[in-house]
Amino acid sequence: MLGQRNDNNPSLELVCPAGTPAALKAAAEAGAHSIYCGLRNETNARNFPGLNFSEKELNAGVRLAHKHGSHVLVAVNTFARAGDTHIWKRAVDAVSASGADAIIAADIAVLDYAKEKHPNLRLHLSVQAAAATPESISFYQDTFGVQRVVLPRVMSVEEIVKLNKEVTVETEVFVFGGLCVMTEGRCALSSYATGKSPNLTGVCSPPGDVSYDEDDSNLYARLGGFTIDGFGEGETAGYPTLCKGRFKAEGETSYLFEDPVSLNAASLLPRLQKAGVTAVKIEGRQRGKAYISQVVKAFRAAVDAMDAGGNAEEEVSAMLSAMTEGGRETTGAYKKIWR
Amino acid sequence: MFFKPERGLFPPALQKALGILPVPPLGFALTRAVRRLARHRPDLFERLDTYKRTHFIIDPIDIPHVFRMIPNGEHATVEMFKRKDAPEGAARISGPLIVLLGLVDGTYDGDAVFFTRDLVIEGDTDAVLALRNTMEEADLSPAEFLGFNGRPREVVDGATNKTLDHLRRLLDAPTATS
Ligand code: SF4
Repeated sequence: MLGQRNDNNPSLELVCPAGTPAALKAAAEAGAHSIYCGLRNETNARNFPGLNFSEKELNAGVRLAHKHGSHVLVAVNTFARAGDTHIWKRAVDAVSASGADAIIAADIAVLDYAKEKHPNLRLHLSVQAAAATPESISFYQDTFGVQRVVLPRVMSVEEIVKLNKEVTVETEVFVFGGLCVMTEGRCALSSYATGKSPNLTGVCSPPGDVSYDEDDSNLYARLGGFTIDGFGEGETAGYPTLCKGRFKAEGETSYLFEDPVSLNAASLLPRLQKAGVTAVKIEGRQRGKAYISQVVKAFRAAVDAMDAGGNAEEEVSAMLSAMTEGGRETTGAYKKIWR
Repeated sequence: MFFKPERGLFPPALQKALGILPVPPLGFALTRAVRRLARHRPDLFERLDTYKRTHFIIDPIDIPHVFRMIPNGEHATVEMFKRKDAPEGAARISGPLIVLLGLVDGTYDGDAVFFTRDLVIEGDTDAVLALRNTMEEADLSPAEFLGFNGRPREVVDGATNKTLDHLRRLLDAPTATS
């Protein structure tokens, strides 16, 4: 059963990404307790070409995951568009029919539809809802019966400890992968450059608006025609995510919003467990199965070691640091005061 | 050592020699392989969605030929051209041959070799991403792609993997990501 963590069973639930059926299989085989995925349309916030599941693939994926003892959580976490709500309704119906263990949603219309039509379907509040206060979380709990909330990646461990004392729903936090630096669900940067943003079309800095141009030995990464970063010869290139670009301001060129680093909070697992967190989440539905398999195995080893009263922090951190973007990592907001 | 290996590129002398040789009918064999795959794994071509009609130019920069692939299910085509006669495509993927082959069999992660700049992407990035994600799902071994089954598949895969592994080391190709 999902969310059975209590004093007798303090084990952290490991929630792992799957962008394709092959990645779902890799995550299940690597020991994921839960696997999250989405349908191949604009109802989920990772709507990239060639990614995600058809309804048929979702049904098969749920069967396969259950065979391995893993749960499946399906993200229907974009905001329904007026006049087109049937796409979101159909997605919720499909998730329920697939036998998945929970739906991850952010929009109150989607949550309401799920609650009314499929009262037995477990509801998780997506990070896209940006609920980070006891008041907003209680609203979703009281109104829709939400059982778990995924917390934004901008909270420190101290803030999570405090929050967990004030709410009765389960909390889930990101511990590894790409870092979205704004309070999730409230960043419109990508819309300015491309007209598309995570909440409306399910993509931030969409690949269709990306171009890479070489001039002499420099490579320029552009988004919607705007130069987001440039890389000299031999320098590792990066994806032009708007908030992670190098811009010139007041005569100085720098990563204006945030360095292009990845989140790695493996070393904080014991503190997060103590903070009363139910589940830890790995970002990366767009990543390949080899990556998923390695990251899941590393985290599963860490969680198992903690369950056995031990500590695998150092080995796990070492296993993971090679897998972060450009080998550069951060513990994100967990250890710092948000700037 | 006759040459200094450089990130998987064929040595210049071999590149020149390949330019003199007649063009082998590789396009024909590859077209058949992709069409056979479309019959056995229609889900992969559904995943490509509208991008199955994209003209992909696959450019192994260390051989004198380029390929144009239109992965349109059972109507798919793969054609081979001399580089100077290469058509314009909607999306172009260029890199050393050994790196491109490693992408097909899953030795390399597309993102990783792109960020280290061993792979260059031009044109329709959406289409390239759709192709990358589809190949990720396909999980093809070389023998499976060529239509071998059962024991012969194991033998061909074993031999191919060994040869490619050896070549990667000889050519100082990027380290495998999986
Ligand atoms: S631009 Fe950055 S902060 Fe904004 S949604 Fe995209 S990744 Fe998140």
